[in-house]
Amino acid sequence: MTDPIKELSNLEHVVLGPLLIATGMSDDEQVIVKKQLLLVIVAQSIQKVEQALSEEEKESLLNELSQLDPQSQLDHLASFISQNEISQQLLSEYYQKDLPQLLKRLLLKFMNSATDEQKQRFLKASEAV
Amino acid sequence: MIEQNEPSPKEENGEHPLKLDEFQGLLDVWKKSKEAGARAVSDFLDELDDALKEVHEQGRQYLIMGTIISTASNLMFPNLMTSDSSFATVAMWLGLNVVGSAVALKIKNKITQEIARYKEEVASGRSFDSTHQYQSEDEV
Repeated sequence: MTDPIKELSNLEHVVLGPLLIATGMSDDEQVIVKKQLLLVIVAQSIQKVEQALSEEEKESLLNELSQLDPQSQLDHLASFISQNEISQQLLSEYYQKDLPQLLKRLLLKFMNSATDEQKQRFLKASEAV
Repeated sequence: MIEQNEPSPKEENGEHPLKLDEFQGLLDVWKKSKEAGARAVSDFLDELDDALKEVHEQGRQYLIMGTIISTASNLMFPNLMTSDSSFATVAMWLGLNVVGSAVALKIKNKITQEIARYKEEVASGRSFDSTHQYQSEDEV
């Protein structure tokens, strides 16, 4: 049976990793970019879940979150998502449709003005996967 | 390449509370860089910056996301993020346990096609077409 987490890692290795290598950025700079991208991914995925909640559910969840410290807020939301089948489905949809669109958008922007050397680096890194 | 930058006027005015200061500094450095290939990096970072701005604008409407993302940017990333952190780390944090493999397969196929195109150009003695414009509406 396919391991979903492993598949998700493959997605990163096939697209994001080669893209970051192709930019020529330092390791430290690449970590900064990954942080920013992960922030967008977390925000978009939570937004996807929130869109499907009723006003009552939103109000209830917000009220619960407001009573928790920051770490507990994260734990509480993760627990909510993991126990909610619709949220699970929406997150799955995000990873299958929305996330590839985001990666494609970033990749195309880079490739449209990349130098030949950058393209070569991308190809070499992609082929190494 | 990383430089210490003062907060931008936008950040001082609180217009982009979600933005990580170090990312804005990185973006500024690459925009000013005269290195070969800097434009592509700058364009890539600009696009990522736009994606975050869109999230921020939508955060006014999605209060749960707005609440959590502020917490995440301050708490989650400094502790969780290392050079090995990945999408999978985020997925596990979010409790995701169902992800199809179709996504990775489609992207692999797309990239394989692009690699084949480049190889064909090299084999025919032509240099890569660096002006080739990819169609944003292309399916991955």
